[in-house]
Amino acid sequence: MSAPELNVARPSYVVEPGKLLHSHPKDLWAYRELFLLLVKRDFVAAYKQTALGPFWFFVQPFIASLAFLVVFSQIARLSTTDLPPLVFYMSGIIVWNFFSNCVSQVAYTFLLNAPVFRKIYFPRLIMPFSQIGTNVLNFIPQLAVLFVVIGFYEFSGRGIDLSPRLLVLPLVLGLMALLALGLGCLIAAATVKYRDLTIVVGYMLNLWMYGSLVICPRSAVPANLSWLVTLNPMASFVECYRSSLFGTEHAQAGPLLIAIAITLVVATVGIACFKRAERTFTDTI
Amino acid sequence: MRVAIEAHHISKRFFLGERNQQTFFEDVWSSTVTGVQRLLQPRRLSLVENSRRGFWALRDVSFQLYQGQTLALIGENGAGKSTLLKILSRITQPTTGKAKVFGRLASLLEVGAGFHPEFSGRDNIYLNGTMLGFSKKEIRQKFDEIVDFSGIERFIDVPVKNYSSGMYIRLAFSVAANLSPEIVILDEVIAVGDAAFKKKCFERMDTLIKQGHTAILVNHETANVRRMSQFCLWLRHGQVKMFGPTSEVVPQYEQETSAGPEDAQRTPELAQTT
Repeated sequence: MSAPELNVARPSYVVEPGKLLHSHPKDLWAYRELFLLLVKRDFVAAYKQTALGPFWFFVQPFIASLAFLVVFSQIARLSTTDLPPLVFYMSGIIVWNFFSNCVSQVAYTFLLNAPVFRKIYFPRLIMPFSQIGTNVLNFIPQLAVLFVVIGFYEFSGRGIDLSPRLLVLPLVLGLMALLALGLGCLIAAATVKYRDLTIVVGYMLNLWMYGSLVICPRSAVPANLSWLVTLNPMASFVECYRSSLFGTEHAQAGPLLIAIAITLVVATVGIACFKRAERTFTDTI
Repeated sequence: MRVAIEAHHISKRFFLGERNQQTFFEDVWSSTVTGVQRLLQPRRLSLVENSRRGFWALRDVSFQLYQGQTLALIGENGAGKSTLLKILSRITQPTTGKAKVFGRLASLLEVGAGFHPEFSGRDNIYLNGTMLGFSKKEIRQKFDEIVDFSGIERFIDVPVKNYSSGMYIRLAFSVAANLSPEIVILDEVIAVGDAAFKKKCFERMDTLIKQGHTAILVNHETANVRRMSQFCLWLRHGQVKMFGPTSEVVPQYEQETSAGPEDAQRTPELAQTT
């Protein structure tokens, strides 16, 4: 080994009060390998020492879909458009789980990583990004299961239309991930001050699902509540996602534009708050 | 000679248990109260704000360290040594002042921070290494050295949760020590492991220093300070008491800590608590 050679015309970094020293885009890129390792870590660690291991990917949405099938389709008799109820619910559940896991895991960033954050510097935004990455990885096999179920219906002659609209799917998922990132970052920043906020978030996400067209199409929403669904970005995204899969619902342009606008605002504000929090949280948590 | 670290008038204030200890409703109440006070008596409030119990962990600390030099931070507990290290390694921000760091800095403020218990030693070397800012390629090149140094070849594919604490510490130390960053910061972690490993750590530090790496160490044993570092920064109550070559600072420090009035008061107290 030789002595380290350095080009020291400029400082590698400057520590100053008030300066946003963390999570510059360039800095984030420099730590991309850490991002990949963290995604791998969380993906693998989730299923170590569990009985079913990765089978949870497949079991969980099935159980939830069956419960919804009984409650909302059989008992409450809610419409599921032209889709078989199982497909309708399952598609909704897996995408909602993706979104809500992203939000709640990102929200825990500071609380769970405080010991590491207090000892090692790296751009803190790497952590939320890696949580989103892990959830994307978790979502893919679930989507595959959905396709198998769809294939089963195709086979039994109750055709479901899969079309080139499918290309919109990654875009919709990207928007959902961005909304989840922004919201999660916002909550994470707030947990620095109020640690119990994550509990509230759990409840809110549960309630939120019922207003997000996961259990029924827009057409089944009572007229006096439709404004709520219009203003809910997730409702538009879920609708758009289903229409990209099946073409049975048609996403409306107005609500979709509102949803995109809200997403951009939430993401910008959320990341800004996160960056603010990462400057001071080691002194407070 | 080229500068490695420049610290200009660094100060750091902590608020003792004043913020972030209240619930949301208490915060709303107290900010309403101060808001009303501000409306009624705008003059008095500035007094209230000034008197908020701030605690200055560091005050006006300046120093310069050139490449290849080794600096030891000395001073009693609570003198601000760890706070200074945290500021230099970007964990926390100074309240005022500024520091410039030239080169890649890896700090070992605690061994094994960022290790994941479920993962093998091998995976954790990569995880920890990338967290410290190294690329996978660099880690791969040094991988064998890291494993050799830690002496746990046989267990490298075992999850670290099954490691003994000694093995854990050895692996963590050797990750940071063998990846050879330009600037190393060590917060007393060298005092870990058994005698043999300790010796190995010291030797490793010696080679790093000989190779021209810059290092900042916190160490309480003046014998080690003398042996390893050319310069000393002596902190007392967050302020620089003395900064200069070890040969000048350490004798003064020893003199004062062995016979100082503060120390005389402190010793019986310590004897009771430990």
